[in-house]
Amino acid sequence: MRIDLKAVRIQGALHGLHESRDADHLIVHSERSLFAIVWAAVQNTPEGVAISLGPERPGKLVATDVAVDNAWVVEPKGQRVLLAREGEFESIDPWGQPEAQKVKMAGLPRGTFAAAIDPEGAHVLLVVVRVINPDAANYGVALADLANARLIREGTIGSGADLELLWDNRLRTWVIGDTSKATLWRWDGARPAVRIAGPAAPGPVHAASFVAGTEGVIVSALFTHNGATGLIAGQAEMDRAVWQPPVALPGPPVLMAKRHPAQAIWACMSQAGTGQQLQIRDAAGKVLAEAAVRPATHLDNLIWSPISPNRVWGFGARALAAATLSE
Amino acid sequence: MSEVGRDVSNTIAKAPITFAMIETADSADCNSRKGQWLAYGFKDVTPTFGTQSSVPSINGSMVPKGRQMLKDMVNVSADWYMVSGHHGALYSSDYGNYSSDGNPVKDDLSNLDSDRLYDEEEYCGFFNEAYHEGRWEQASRSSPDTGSSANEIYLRTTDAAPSGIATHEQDNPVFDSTAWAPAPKGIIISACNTLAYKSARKTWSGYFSNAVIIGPNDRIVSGTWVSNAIASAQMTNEAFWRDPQSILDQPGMCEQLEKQLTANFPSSSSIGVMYKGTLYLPGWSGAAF
Repeated sequence: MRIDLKAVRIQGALHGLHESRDADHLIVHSERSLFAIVWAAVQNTPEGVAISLGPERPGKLVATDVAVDNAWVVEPKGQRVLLAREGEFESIDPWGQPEAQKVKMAGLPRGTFAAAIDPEGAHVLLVVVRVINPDAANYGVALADLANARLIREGTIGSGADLELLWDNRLRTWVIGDTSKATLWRWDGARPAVRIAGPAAPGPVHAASFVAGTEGVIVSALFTHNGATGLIAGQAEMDRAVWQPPVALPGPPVLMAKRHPAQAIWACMSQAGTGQQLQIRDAAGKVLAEAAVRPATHLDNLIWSPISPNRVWGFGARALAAATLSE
Repeated sequence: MSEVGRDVSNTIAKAPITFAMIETADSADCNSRKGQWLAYGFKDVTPTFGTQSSVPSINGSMVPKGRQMLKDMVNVSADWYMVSGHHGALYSSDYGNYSSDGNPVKDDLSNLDSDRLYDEEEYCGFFNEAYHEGRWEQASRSSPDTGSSANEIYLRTTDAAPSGIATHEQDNPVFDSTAWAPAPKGIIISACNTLAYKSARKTWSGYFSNAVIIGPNDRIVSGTWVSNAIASAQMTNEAFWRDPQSILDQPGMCEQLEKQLTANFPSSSSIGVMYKGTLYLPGWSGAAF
């Protein structure tokens, strides 16, 4: 396997990205705006140039005044951007007319931190904040029923770690994953959520990721044991997870592992000293391919393309990257 | 020859920059910042844990090692510190002193006089889960041992509470190393309300009068709010971490840093910068205490 890694520097801070239409079109959240960009138009930017997004530059402006706690998602059918703001959603055609349609949603709070949408585009699951006391708050979730303009708050899910939200098409429920401990919850949007514990790893879990694919939801938990990194993967069933035996990940420490939606391979980010390596590993932990990430394009996140099985997106505060896999 | 050239390429003639980290809750923020600093070639001098790839949280089975690490950190001098975890008043029962109507504080906090709480509460600290669930939830100034736990960790961020109302250890190695260590360049205090409590601002500022101190002025859920805002700010490049004073001593630069942090911080919360006795918050700056 080979990795063709192309990375470009972005002038403004990059907070997130989603594919739109195909694996060449992206919606990115940079600074306080959303932009639609065509990857082919920017991928060959010279190393010494940082791309500035905006009018007269690469990137069509989709929305302004977008804070890091205005969650957004791309509708699966219409490919419109749904942007959560206090009391309403904005629905925007990122490649067409800029006017936003407003969808009122009483109770939608000012701060929303992640969003996922069901395949029908009827419900949006959101990460919201629950105030516990003057010195503490944690994340919870709320479900926006778009057709009925109704917000349903779930009362039992709570975490201080970032949450990943997924729709599990196999079991037809939402899955909420804790990226710190690999705990997850299943929620059908009505009854109390079911909590599923993380793995009993040989050492402390330091990062977890979740992917929804044809097999359902797979959890990947990274742990440290005797100074080395290991990986435990598990299948999320309705009320439990079926964990595979832990595997060692030889080489420099692995800080992030994201499983492919359909194949048992993981996109991993390892770091040794000043150098980052993007790696593709198999279920036994073996490195199938790797590529060095230039220090100027330091990456913090990896996302498998939901459209192209050979594409991994990466982004950091100042960098956007695409890795294309080939045999 | 090529190996030698590769080793010294872009760090030659640059002073080594060191950092140390304490994590008592979720490690994601420290891990993120550590990755960035390592990418600049900075050195993690945290005792025991510095050579590890990820920053362990001092909870559960990590408490014995973590407690030793905290003791050893008194003998460490770093250019930058990052302290992360739970942070708040000495005990949750302290909130009862700040009721606006004389009744116990309600669950929805509608009768809490938060201005008085943040201005008048004398004793605050960072703490881990065992302290949070134990003394913090259950103890009071009149019954300070209720809920005590062998695994509790509490690091004061104000003057230490007197033994009559607090019997647990309150050592903070970042404060305690000031007896001998050179002044650090800056400190990231990544937790709820680290810059909201006046007594904490006064204490941090007293120990570190020339250091830049960055932290939330409100509740946060995750320290990643802080680490992401810092990573996203235009000013926080390698030059900033190497010598923040030469940048922030220029007119308007503290305000600029605060604006850049705020632009990349959740709009439903608030982050601030404290530098040389002045507190910089969104749209406001003034004496820190």
